[in-house]
Order: sequence, then C-alpha cells, then structure tokens
Amino acid sequence: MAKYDLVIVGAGPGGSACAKIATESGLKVIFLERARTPGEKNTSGATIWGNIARTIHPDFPAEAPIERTVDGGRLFFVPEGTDWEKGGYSLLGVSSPHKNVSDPLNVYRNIFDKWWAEQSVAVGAELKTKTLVTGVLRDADGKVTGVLDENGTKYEGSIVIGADGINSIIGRMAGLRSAWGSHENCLCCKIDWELDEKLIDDRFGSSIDHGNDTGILLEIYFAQPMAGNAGYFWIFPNRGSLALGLGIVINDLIRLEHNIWWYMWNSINHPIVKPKLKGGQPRSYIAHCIPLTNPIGPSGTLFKSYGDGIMLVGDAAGFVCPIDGAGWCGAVIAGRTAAEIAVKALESGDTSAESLKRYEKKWVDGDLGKNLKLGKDMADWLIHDSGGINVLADQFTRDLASMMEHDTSHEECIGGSIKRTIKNAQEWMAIAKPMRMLLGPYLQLFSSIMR
Amino acid sequence: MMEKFTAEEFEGEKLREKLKDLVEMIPTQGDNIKVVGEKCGGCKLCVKHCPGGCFEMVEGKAQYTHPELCFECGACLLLCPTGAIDWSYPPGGTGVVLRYT
Repeated sequence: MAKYDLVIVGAGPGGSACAKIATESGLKVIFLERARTPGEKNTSGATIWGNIARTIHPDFPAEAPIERTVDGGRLFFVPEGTDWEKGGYSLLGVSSPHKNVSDPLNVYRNIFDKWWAEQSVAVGAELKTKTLVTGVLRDADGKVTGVLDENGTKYEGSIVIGADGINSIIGRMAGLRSAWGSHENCLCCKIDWELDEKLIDDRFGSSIDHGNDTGILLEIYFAQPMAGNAGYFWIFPNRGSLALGLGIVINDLIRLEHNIWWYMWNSINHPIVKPKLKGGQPRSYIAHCIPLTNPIGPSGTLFKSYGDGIMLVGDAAGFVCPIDGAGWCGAVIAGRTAAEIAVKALESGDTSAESLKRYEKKWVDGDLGKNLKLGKDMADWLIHDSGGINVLADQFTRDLASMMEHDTSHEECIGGSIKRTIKNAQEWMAIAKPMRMLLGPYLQLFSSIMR
Repeated sequence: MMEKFTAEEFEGEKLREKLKDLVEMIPTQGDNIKVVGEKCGGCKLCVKHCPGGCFEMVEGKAQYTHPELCFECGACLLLCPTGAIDWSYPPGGTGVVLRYT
C-alpha cells in the first residue's frame, strides 16, 4: 500500500492548489481525480481571479491558458411583460479600464484546470487520474487514515483532503456532513457556444488590448422568462466561444412549470440575447450543481470542515458565495490554508481533529470566512428588507467597475459587492427607489437563492 | 416577438435527441444511479428535471434508462422527495465530459 503525508481527493482548483503548496513545503502528496484529465467535467463559467492565482503561482498568469481578460460587466434586469420591440427594458451597463489588480480572467476550465494541476505535478506532487474514490480508511479509533478507490486500491495518508466537489463522497463517508438539501443547491447548465473571435470582440469587447487578448465584458441577465424568476442567465465570453449558463435553485425548479433546458432555450432565443449569438452554434452541453449554502452559522460553523485526519476544501465544504455562486476563489484559498495546516500538523506529529481544528479557525477568521459570513448577512438583509435587491442591483453594477479600479483584497473578491452594499445600504436605497417597481419580480429570485 | 417553446421539446426523447450531438460520453457501465422501486412515489420530478433526460416512467415508477446522458450533477438525488435515488459516480475516466473541439 502506498503511503503519503497527504492524500488529496479531487484535482480541481482547491485540490491542485493544496497539492502544490504542500509539496513545495516538503510533504509527499498524491492527488486523485476521477476524470481522465482535471477539469473535463467542469460546468463553471468560468472566471478566475489573478490575484488569488498568484497566492499559488507567484508569476501568474505567465504561460497560463487564459481566454480573455475581464474588463467589466453588464447586468440586465428584464421584467416580465416588457415590450421588447420598443426597447423598454433596463440595461445597467458598466465598463472600466482594467488596472490589473484583482485581475478577473475567463478560462476554459477543462484546459485551465489541467494546466493548474500540471503545475502541482511539476513541483513533485503525484497525480492519478481516472480514479474514483469510493471510501475512506479508518483505524481502530475511527481516525481517517487514507482512502480506497473503486478497484480496491488503498492510498494511506497521514492526512486526507476532501476536495471532491459538491457531491463530496469524502465529506459524507467521513461523517462530517450529510448530503445537501434541495434548498441549498442550484442546478446549473452550460452551453459552450462557438462564435468567431472577431464577432465576440465586436459584441462583448471592451476594446482594451491586453497583449494576448482583447478584454471583454461579462453579461448577467435577471430576466423573465429566462430563469423563471428563480435564477439568472449569464454570458461569459472566451476567445472563440461563449459560455452560456443558467442556474436555478433546486427547490424552485420543483415549483416551476418547466425544466432547466426550457429556460435555457428561451434565454438563448430571447430578443436581447439572440442577436449576440448570431453566426455561432452550440458546441457542447454540460450540467452540474453548485452549493449555495456555506458552513457559517449564527454561532460557529454548521458542520465541521475537519475531523480526525481529514479536512474539506472547496465545494465539498460549501465554500461558495451565496450571492453569485462563485466558488473558485474560496476553493483556492481553502486549498492553500489546508496545506499550511497540514504542514504544521505533520511537524508536530499530531494529525488529530484537535490539531486540524486550526484549519477551521484559520479560514473562519480569515478572508474566506469573512466573505462567507457577509454573504449570509447579505442574504438575510435581502429577505428581511424587500428594498435590499434594489440596492444590490445598483451597487453591484458600480462595484463591477470599482473592483477593477481599486485594490481588491482576497476578502472582497468572493462577494465583491457585499461589504460595500451593506455599508452603503441607506445611501443607495434613496438612489435605487425608482428601480423598485422594475425590480419587483426579482425579489422572489433573490429570496429564493438566499433561502 | 419572443419565440416561445413548448415544454415537450425539452423533455424525454426530444431532449435526448437535442443533446445527443452536443455531449461527449466516455462509455460507462450505466449503473451508477438506481431508482429504488418500492420507494419511488411516481412524482416524475426526476423525469422532468434531469438535465440529461436520463429517467423515464415505466409502469408508474421512474427508471434510470438513459445513463448515456448523465452529467453526474446529483440533481435527481436532491429532487427526489422520497429518497428513492441510489446515487454514485460512474467509474473513473468514464461518463460525460465537456467537449472542447
């Protein structure tokens, strides 16, 4: 049986980040991936953040497979019954000069994740693909001592990291948490829409030349009947294709008249969207769930992200912003944090829950925990004060710009708008008042996402 | 004017037909998901909402009849009100992948 310091399950952003940092610190690391190559089953948009990537790869994005630099975004609020012919919809547009601070970049996750994992392999971590982990190994006291794959192969490790995504087998097998509830999850589907690079420049470009690419603007639509008042539709441009996505909370799907593909088809055939896709065609489809809840509770965490000989990172631990569903930053921050704690635990020779408790303290007290808490506070505010959505809509569009213009810390990047929105709620309320009617239908949307 | 689509176009056989050419599938055993017959209440939520259209009703009960389009998303597990879905991932290196070229 192979014996490692660290056995990491999952080669996504969190697992690979953890593998790199731990290996560089001298640990013997293996990370296991069930796909043929990391990222090939991913459904993410996908925007990643350069400033967070640099905490793992200091010279990022040198040689990284980047599709587009994100220079801003547009939010569309389109109430039902809007007269399209007369152009009677609301467009809140933002673009701003990119100043390379928080550095949002669009990537193809099936190419980017492969590259991301290769960087961990390059420093000496062992990657094993096509390997589905089906169980955890325990000693007589119940301490996790490794994992077992579908072929019965055992991987013994002083510490196991569960970075195995939303349907985390490790988290459940280790008894750290149960499966998510239907209110805690969002079903997302994605179409990869092939479109000429030049047409993308014309339709989504910011006109800012970044050397390797022309910058683009993201587009997000809160619109009937795109997501049945229960989710949102997005367009994330890449170099020669668009990632078209739609997410709806599972609980809302249950009450909706149609299924997610119906809403997706209506989104891409929507009069606002259709002309932007013209000349292209769908190339691929995929679907996935995203956890919209996170472990932060009113006092302490709702479930433990650690146990005897084990830590959870990324979607497996629910480290996702409950406002926008972004999880890449959280996964990477947690992966790094888990690696640092693993190094300390192994130095002290104590990998018990008591020792690994430091992991939870570190992420709860750090930027990640602060963000996840802000996300929850924001959710409460949106539900209890029906004006919240108006304020958010207004502030969010401003923040898409200011995130590029100001120094954005890790803390702010996960839920960029959240902190300022709460702080400026009163001020923005006055400004946003005229939008109240327009945004009425979307109160339901936000309260359902936040529930 | 807004072009409206009927629900039928995005369910069952018609959905599977649409997805067929746009999903890359590494051949798999197809037994990663099972509907436990005696627990199934016949509500059809999995049939309607599975993004791959993998389920069909057979004699009043849902069955996982089209594993070739399973995205491994776990939605069926979350949707099922009676806990009738016995869920796991397909073997490593198999199942649906996002096609790039």
